Amino acid sequence: MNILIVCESKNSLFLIRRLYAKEHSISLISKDSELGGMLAAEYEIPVVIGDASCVTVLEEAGIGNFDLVLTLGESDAENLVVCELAKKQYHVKTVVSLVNNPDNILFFEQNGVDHCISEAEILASVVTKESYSDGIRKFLPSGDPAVIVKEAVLGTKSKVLNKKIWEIPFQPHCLVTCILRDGKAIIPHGNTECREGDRMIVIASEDTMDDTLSLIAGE
Amino acid sequence: MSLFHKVSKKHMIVIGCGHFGFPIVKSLIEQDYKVTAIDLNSSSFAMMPLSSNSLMIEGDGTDPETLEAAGVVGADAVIAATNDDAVNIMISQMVKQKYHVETVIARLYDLSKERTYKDLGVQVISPVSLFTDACLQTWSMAKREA
Repeated sequence: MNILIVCESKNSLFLIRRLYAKEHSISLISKDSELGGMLAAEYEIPVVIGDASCVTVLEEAGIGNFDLVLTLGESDAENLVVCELAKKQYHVKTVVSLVNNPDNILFFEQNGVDHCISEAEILASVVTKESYSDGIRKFLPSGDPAVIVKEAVLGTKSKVLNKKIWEIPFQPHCLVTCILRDGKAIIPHGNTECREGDRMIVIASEDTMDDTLSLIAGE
Repeated sequence: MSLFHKVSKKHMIVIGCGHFGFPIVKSLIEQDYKVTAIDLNSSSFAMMPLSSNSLMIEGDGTDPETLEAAGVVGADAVIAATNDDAVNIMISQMVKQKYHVETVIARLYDLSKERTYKDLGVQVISPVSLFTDACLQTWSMAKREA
C-alpha cells in the first residue's frame, strides 16, 4: 500500500518502523527538518519538509498517488485540513487521523475522515472498563474470600461463544452480572447471547471462579 | 471600512485576540455590540475595554465546549482571527456546519494557504491582500496627481 504520513513527533518513528517492516511504500511530510532528515536517511523514504496544510506541499509530495493518508499531528485543525484536502480534492481512498480532542471525532468523520484515533478516548475507555469490577468489589465485605469479582474476555476458543446465558453450564455460586460490549454495559438475562470480544464481569465463590473464567475465556 | 452595520445588539464571537483580532473586538465593543472573545491566552484580554456586553473566554476555539460556553448557538457572526490558518478553517467549518452560524469570516494569515481556504469553501479575508490593494490604489492616485 502507498501511504503518506504527516507527522511532527518522534513517536511516529515506531509506526513507520512497523509499516516499513510490512513492506508498505511510505512517504512523509513533516515540518521538522531534523526528524524528516533522520527518517529519510534511516528508511530511504521520500520526505517533504513543509506544512502539509498548504496545497503546494501536498502536491509536491504527490498527494493524489496515495492509497492512504495518515495524519499524526498535534493540532486537530491541521490534521483535519490535511485529511479534508486529501479526501475531497485529491480523492485519496482512505484517510486516517489522530484526534486529540475526542469531542471532535464526529466532526472529523462528518468531514470525510474514515477512521479517527483518539488516545484520550481509548484510555478513558480502558479505565472505565477496569472500574466496573472495582465498582462492584466496593460493595463486598472487604477481605471476604468467599465471594470474588473478576473479569474475563470471551475469546475465539471460548466454550460459551454464541451461546445464550441460559444455555451455559455455569458452576453453582456463579453469576454474570454485566457484559461490556462495544463500549456499552449490558445487564444480561437468560436470552442474552455471548459474543466474541465480550468482557464479562463475574461474581463467584473462590472455588468456582477459576473454572468459570476458563469456560468464558476458552483457555 | 465598516464590516458590520449596527441594527440591533447582535452577538459577535471573535476567536483570536492578537494583533489582528484585538482591534476588531475593541471596535465592536465600542460600537455597543454584544461580543464574546476567545483566546488561548488570557493575557490577550488585559487591555480590552470593560463592557457589560462583552465576555472574554480563555480557551481553544476549536473545542466545541469552548464555543458553546461562548454562546455560539444563536450567535449572529463568528470571526476566526487567529494566526493559524488551519485553526481558522476548522473554526469556520465547525460553526457553519455544527452550529449553523450564518455569517462566518476567516482571516487568511499565510497567503500560501489561500488555495486551501478556497478548495475547502471557506470565505476568507486576507489583510495582506487588502493592504496590498490599498497600497497600489494609493500609489496610482499619487501618480495621477503628480
